[in-house]
Amino acid sequence: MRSLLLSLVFISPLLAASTQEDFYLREEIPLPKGEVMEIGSIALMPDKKVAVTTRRGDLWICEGAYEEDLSKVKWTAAHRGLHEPLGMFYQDGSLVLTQRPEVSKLTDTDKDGKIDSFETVCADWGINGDYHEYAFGSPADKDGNVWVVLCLTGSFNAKSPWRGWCVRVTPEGEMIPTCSGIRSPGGIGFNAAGETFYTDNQGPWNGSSSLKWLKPGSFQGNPTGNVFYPEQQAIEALENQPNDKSRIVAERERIPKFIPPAVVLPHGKVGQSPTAVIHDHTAGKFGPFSNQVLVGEQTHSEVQRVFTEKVNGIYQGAVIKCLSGFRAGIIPMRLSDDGTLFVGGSNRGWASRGGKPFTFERVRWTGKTPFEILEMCAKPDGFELSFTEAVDPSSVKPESFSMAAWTYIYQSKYGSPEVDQASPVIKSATLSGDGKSVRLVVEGLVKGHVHHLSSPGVRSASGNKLWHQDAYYTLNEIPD
Amino acid sequence: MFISNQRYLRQLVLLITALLPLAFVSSSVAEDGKTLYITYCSACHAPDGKGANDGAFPPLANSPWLNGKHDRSIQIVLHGLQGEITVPTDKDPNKKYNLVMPPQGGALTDPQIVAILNYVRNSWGNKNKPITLNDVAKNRRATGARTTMWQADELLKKHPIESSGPPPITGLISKVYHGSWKTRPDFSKLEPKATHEEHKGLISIANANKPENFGMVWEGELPVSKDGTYSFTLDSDDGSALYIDGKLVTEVKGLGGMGRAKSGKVKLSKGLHDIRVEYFEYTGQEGITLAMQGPGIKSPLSLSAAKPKIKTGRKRASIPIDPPKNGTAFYRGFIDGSTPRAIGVGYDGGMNLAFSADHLGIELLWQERFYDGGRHWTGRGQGNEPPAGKNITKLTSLPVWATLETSSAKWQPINKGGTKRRFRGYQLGKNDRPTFNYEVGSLKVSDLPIPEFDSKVITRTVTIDVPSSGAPENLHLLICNGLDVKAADSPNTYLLGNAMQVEITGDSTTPALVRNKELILPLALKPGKNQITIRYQWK
Repeated sequence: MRSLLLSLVFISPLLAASTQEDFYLREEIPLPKGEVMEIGSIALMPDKKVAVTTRRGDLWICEGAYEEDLSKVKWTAAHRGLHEPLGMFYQDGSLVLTQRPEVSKLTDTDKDGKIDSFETVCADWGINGDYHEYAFGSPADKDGNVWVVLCLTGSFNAKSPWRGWCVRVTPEGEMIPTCSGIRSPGGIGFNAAGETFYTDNQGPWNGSSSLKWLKPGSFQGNPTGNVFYPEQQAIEALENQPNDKSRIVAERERIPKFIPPAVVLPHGKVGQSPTAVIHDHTAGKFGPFSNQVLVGEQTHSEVQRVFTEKVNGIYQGAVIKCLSGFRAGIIPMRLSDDGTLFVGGSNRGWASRGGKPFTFERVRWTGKTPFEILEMCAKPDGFELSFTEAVDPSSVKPESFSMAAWTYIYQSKYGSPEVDQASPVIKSATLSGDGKSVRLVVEGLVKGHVHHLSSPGVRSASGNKLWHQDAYYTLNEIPD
Repeated sequence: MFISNQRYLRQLVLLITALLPLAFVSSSVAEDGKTLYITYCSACHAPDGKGANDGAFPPLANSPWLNGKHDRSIQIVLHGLQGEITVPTDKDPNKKYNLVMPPQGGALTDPQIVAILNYVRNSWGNKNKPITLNDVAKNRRATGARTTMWQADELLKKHPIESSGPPPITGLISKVYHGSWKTRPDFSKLEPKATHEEHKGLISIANANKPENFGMVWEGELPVSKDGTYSFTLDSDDGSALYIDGKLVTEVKGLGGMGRAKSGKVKLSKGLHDIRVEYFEYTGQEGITLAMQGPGIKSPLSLSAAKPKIKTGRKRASIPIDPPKNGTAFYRGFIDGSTPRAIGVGYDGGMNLAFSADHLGIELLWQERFYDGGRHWTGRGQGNEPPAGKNITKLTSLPVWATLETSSAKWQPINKGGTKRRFRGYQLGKNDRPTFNYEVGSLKVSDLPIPEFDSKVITRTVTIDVPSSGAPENLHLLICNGLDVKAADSPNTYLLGNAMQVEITGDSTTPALVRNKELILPLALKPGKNQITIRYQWK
């Protein structure tokens, strides 16, 4: 026992501690002086322009946000007087915005730098004056549709039409109700396969915050918006209404349309208010995490990385922390083709670890690859981990890892404690031939539980510890 | 042997404790309040308990909400809290917050709540007796059926904030009188029915033991810690008067409810001063509050058991929104008096309107200042905010396009959604003046208001494009409802209330229909473009 303690004490200082600056360069982009820039959405435009909207309703265009010298950025106000946009993208000379009341197409028709045409594409959902009736909009999907997630009234009720639903808005302005079960979203976007995901926040029927897959026709877990099933024809109403104080695993048996959260973002441990959803489409320009999903985190002022896989037709996967130290609570994110991640945020009404009232930042990869768990795949008897670089074979042993598992009460009350704790046992750890993946055989996997894998003993072939040693895998399905 | 065994055991325990952080910590280990607080609470309340973002969120350090009786703290944690609250901070003794504390009763276990509350109630200068699992369990049982968050005023009624420190008035004695008075009687000529010692040192009618037809007089000594001028604010239902050192300072006369507060100022030297308060209640509701402000008193000091409502002059921040010179300002938020999809338009010459994209009409007109963003642009931005300016005229409160079978038929608006009634946006022209576009059935409408500042007129040109298949029969446009409407002397002109007149001309002008506070324009539309001009003029 003593020798173990001693060796821990002596080894630790020898390992070079990895810091974010080694891998990612985070920089604040100067904002126009005297302006309150509580950024709610970002759009990437041609000619390296970046558009942002603020919660106050201003639209600004930024030039120079990609340049080495950020002190020369130029800001132009293109309009003031929008309604809290939380979603924006550029398309054919226009900016398409999801504002609180509508999806709109904004155009500068006379090219004087100011928007002069505000075309309402769709305003078919209800708003009643409640501040919490937020609408988050996606970029266009492959059919040109904008996906909009509609927060519940006051985040608890469905007092206006289509609250608690995800709707799709077609280019012609038709609104297609797509999924019920939404509570309080923080962002929406696509994975690399073009499927739509959104983040939903801890609260009634959400034991923890999570990343959810918006499979068309599915139920996302909060039954408040189910009152609107009769208002549409395309989707049949739920087989059953969910039981209170249950477990998602049990309710999925009763409600086949219920798609469980793809990846739970354990409340408190990983974050408290997830927001933007994007994926790394840059094929390596943003580091080793190609095609993975990045999720914004408002309270902790962080960006987290999510690996997903489909098992038995259901998405699931692991969240691993990624970037931290942002200066305000993160709301929107956009990743440009050249690998520049733009991040904006605000602390108004919801506090965050980044203590500034608002911020606009960019993050670029330094070119140095962190030693990280790249993927964590479920196996019938455990997990397979792949790493960003070769692993030191001597560190591949069960003692280098530990695992804990739990789930949450699925209930109408706000949130849930972690319950049904289990302690899966890592029986063996085997390094692959190429030295870059490790097969863990685990006894005691629990279907539906979050499996927290900690890998403090793993070393890279070059002697580095993992940059982040904790991964949280949501095991909705155990593969056959 | 026995002793050495004990020592061995203790060493083993110490060793295991030292190793615990390396192992998987099971949930059976006692909860650590500080760790839990950092994980679940510190994002908003800050690790140092002073409120995150430099006090933009409520502090817990020295908060009267948290200190004192534990039931209030436990209830806030269990069920959450919303509505405006006042919490003293280092910088502002009356800092107002209007945020939301989400309920944690479903997310935290009882041991976690105990650990967190015992940590925060005994950190950063807070000092309280520890709470137990039983205290939390009792509170859970008491409010188990509750499904909504506490509203701040509701919680305070149930769990008022305790006054701390010495009694504000020393040696306070109350006398109760019975009688029916409509003005304050001369109490010196009356016999008291009862006399009480008021140990809390606060003016309270609790000891009257009677809801109607009584009077009370309180006498005691008021400690003053600094020389200076002090202000006293007295409010009561019904009448009352305050004397200090035998002199009348202020008086609430005659019968009436709370909200008739009167203030008086008096110079006082350091030391004790005689204070006398007289009060009478006729019938109906009753109450009295008294507050003191002056040197060394940070927030108004309540001298009454009921908390005085004092305007401290620290209102919500004002964030004026003004149109640029020769330009137009826009505001899309929740404008009081119109619908959630209202679009506020402020013209630089001090004339403004709100167009409702729900009802497809101009619902509000007003003059001077355009709008104040202070409500929606601070905190979470709850509620509707009215226009900032003057002479607000509410023209309509209904969807303005409808078919009427007969002139007496009920107003049946064209339905919303689908192709029936649809807002299509706006274009900005010269000086950013907007033209609103919308569809009413198969009709395409553009609606352009233009201000004329010298004549205090807004002229609205409504162009209706009718397809060759024609317009719906019996189509009508609502110009005004809810105001007194009278035909004026000039043709096609009507008086709306007493501040505005409207003149309607154009392609389809038939005489407008005036009925019960409504002004309705019947539309006889032809295929092609039809134009109606509506001229609003302030008197």
